[in-house]
Amino acid sequence: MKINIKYIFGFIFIFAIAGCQKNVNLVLPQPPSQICVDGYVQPGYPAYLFLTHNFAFFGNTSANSVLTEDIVHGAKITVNDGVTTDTMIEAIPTLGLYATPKMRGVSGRTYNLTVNAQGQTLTAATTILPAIPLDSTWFQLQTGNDSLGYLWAILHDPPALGNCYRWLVERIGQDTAFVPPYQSAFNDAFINGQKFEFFFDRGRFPGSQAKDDTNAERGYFKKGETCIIEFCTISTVSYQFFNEYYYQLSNVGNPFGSPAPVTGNINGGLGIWCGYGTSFDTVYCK
Amino acid sequence: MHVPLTIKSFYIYMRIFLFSLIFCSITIGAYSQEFKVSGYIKDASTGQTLPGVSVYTDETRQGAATDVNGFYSFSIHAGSYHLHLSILSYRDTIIPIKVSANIHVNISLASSSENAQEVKITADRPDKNVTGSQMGTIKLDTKDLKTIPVFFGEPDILKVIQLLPGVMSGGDANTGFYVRGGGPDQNLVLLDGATVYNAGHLLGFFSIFNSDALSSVELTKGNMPANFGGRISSVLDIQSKDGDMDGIHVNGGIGLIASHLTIQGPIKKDTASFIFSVRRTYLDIFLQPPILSKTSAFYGTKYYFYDLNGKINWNLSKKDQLSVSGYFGQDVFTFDDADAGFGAQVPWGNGIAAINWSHIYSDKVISNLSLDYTDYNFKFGGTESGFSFSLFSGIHDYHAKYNFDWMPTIKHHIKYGLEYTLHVFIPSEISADEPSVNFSINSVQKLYGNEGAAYITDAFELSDRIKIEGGLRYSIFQQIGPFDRYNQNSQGVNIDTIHYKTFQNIALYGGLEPRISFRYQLNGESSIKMGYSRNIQYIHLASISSVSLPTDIWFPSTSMVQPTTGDQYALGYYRNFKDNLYESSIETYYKDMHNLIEYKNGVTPDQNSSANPDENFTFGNGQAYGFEFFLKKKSGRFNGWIGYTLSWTNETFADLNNGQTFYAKYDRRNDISAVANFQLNDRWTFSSVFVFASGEALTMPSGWYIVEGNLLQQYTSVNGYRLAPYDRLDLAATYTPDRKNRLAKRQQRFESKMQKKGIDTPYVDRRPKWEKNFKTSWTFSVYNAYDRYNPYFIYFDIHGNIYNNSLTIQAKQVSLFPVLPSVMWNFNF
Repeated sequence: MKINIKYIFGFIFIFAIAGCQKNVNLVLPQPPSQICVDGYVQPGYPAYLFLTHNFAFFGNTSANSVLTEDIVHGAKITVNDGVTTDTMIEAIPTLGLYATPKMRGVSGRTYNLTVNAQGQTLTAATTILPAIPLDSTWFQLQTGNDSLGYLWAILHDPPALGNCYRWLVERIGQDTAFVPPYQSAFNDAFINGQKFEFFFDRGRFPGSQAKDDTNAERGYFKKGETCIIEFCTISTVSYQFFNEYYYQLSNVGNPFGSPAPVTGNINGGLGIWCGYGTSFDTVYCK
Repeated sequence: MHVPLTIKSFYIYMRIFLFSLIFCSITIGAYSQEFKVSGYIKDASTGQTLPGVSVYTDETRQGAATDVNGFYSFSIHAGSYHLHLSILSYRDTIIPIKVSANIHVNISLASSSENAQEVKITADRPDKNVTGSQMGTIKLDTKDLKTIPVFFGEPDILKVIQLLPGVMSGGDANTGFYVRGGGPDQNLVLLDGATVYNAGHLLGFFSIFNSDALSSVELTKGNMPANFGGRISSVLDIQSKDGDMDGIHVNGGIGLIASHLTIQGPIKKDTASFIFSVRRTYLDIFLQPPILSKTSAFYGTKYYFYDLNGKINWNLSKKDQLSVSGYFGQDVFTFDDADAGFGAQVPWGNGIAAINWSHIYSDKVISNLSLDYTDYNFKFGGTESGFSFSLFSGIHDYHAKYNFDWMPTIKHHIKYGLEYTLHVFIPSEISADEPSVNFSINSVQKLYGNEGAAYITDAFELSDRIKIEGGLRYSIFQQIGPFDRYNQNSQGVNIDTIHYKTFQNIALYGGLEPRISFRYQLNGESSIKMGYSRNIQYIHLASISSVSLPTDIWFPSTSMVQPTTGDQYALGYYRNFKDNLYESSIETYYKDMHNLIEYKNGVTPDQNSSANPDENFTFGNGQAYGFEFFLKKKSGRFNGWIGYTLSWTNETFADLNNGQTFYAKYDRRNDISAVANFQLNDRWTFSSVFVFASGEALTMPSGWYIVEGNLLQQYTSVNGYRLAPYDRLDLAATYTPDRKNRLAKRQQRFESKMQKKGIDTPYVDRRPKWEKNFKTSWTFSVYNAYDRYNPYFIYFDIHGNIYNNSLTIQAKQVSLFPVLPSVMWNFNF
């Protein structure tokens, strides 16, 4: 849905690239070691958290090195929801995934996170906001295509300004988790109080080499698929994180972009601790 | 220190200030005793009035420079004098005068040489750099810009400005200039008194100033006179040409990517004149089939820019002169991909209209009233699969200035006046439309501001050795309604809205801006000067991108954004040699800047469209200091200059770089510019430009971290990386055909033909007047002669992904221009 302003300068970029370019070897400063939190909590489910630490820009960026060197093990992580405190356990150690064994998310509660690892202490807080369900959802073929299309929905945004949303989809039997498409977070700055329809294409896991992520079906849903839409309300802070997150991802290699640091909500570290107020819809693509 | 003001205290301050102004006028006026010498100076061939001509007596060295209307006036005791008129490009003229009463002397100056080709930096007097009290003021003669080697042969005044010491270039494709560590928004650029907000075309490859339409250019980079304000670094005052009052003249140039044409002449002889100029590029012709194939990445793209300048001058009476001038220029970029269902139209540009009325009240008092309007806008319109989207940002300024020049005694030249601007800012207005969807996009608000100032400045000679120029400027800025301020809680949810009605005061700032400069003349050839100035800047340019773009947004001071202040201290030693043939100077400066503006970490461009975009900014302080060395040979067959600047600029923002001080983007440790011109003979002139600058400070990522499986770049220091140094050599040769020789040959051929026929008839040139006067020249230039790959930007070429161990990262440096030869054919008649 978003037309990126970068289009405007695309031709200048091409002009510039067509000019002259050469490889250069940069000597960049080594970043100080910092821990990154990638965690979320939603109603009825445990709180989950991936814990890694940062690595040098021109360092060893292979999956093996990340899995062996950059996952943070043995962290002491507690989550307090104002009622109880739970200590996370390493649910899948090889992936650095931690989870609360007892605590489940409850809408309206604020979740305070404390991480102690490698001599660092990180804290964060997030609230599960009340869900705002979609009015309706459907699959619609892309014009000129008889099997591929997008998922559409109608949202009635509440009157108060400041609502933020995130959209994720899981295809039953095909995806192993809910997948956010690009620019999956949005707010109501331009649609406040409106009832409006919108669509999203299909997201993919980073680095996916699945057939339908590399051929002409990439980005499309297909007739015959059954999809579950997870539509979430998120806090403005979380929206800002994901907005900056997608801006940086789109900015890589863009000379007209700015240095785009992503400011999360983790005190003393990097990343995001996000509460999702979820509602689910099932769509049969037909 | 400026402080927020209440309306009441503002009016009290203004009354005190205006009372002081009037009181000073009365007391100083009571002591005037001398007779007044005044008049207009014009170009003898074109009839255009000449600003910046130095008019002084050889006996007492007293005098004045002509103003923008070519008018001069000064007081002197009774006696006989030799009035000396001097301006480079014209013959020095000396006229005997006898002063026993007030006298009016109008003079026409003849050009020193039709083929004078050297690029000139002009001072009012040959020794003005030593004898004047102003520091860091430089006049450029636009007449000979054509000989400077420039990009694609297009003469560009801003590119020449960047060759002066203390003025840094932003690199290739950047007409923005950085003066003594200040950002591009800290320079006040005026065209006929109206503010120019975006002086660049094609993202800065060219400036908007068509040199054919310009009369004079003056840059003040040091101690800004009190009659200018609103910026903390410099003022670039550009005046457009007056039309010829005697006859029609046409001149133009045809280049590789652009051409320009100027026509001027009388509307009523010796009373009224006009001048119109037009310039247009034809890149869009190259981006069309058959030159461009349908498979090209450029297919569907059109780009061009154009400039229109016009001015009408009218001498209403001996004491009144009226001019109406205008500028309109646009860049237009369109992209159309019918197959993909995508199209975009992106026009942006400036529109300026100015009315100037100058009136001579007496030989001692001249006034100039100017009313002008500036419009800068940027639009983006796009359509994709039935969805249409448009973005608009812009500024409208309504500006009035009433200036008085008052010369009550020989030793005083007082300027005073009032200035007012109504600003209307539209930060980023978005609209969208899609069938069946009703987008309500009304959150972006216009911002309104009143900016006003009263000023007085006096240049007076305390003794033969000591000259002082002091000025006071009191400025205010008021943000007014209508406006809604949204207060949000820590989660960013609106909890309260404050509504401001039309004209309701939202924030009011003001402050006194004193400026003083002092000259101590050591001897006839050398002097020491020092100066201090304080400037307050109420509007700011905020840039998210690492390169200058038309999407950069101008933003006023608001209740969230305080004005920027700058205090500059300067000290200099000036020395001329060989009867002012050589000019040299060493200046040092220290500039303290407060409330500088930057975007907060993580702000994305779409947040400019939020209801209160001023919440995206963060504020800090900066310091700039350095030394400037300048050596110039002013005339002769070989002339030119060399400037060297050693400087430091750093900034400290609590919210950036963990509060640690960092080098500003404009920090350049070393900067060298050298310009050399050599006139081989009447036909050939050669010139060259060499520049070297330390690399620009840049923010680079230092690490990675992982969120949702994606790699995110980690930034740990602001501007912690330096691009490679920038250096470049440009060469140019200008060939002017020898018309006299050609005419002599034509005559010779005719006479020998007649002789063969046995007819004794003298040659009579029967060509029409325009053809007789038709003159041409060719300028051949080579930009980046030794093909240096200067860094424009660095980007990371990232392939593969971390999950299959195929991730590769390669830094690539992009350079814009390799060696670029060009040719321009100029003509006039």
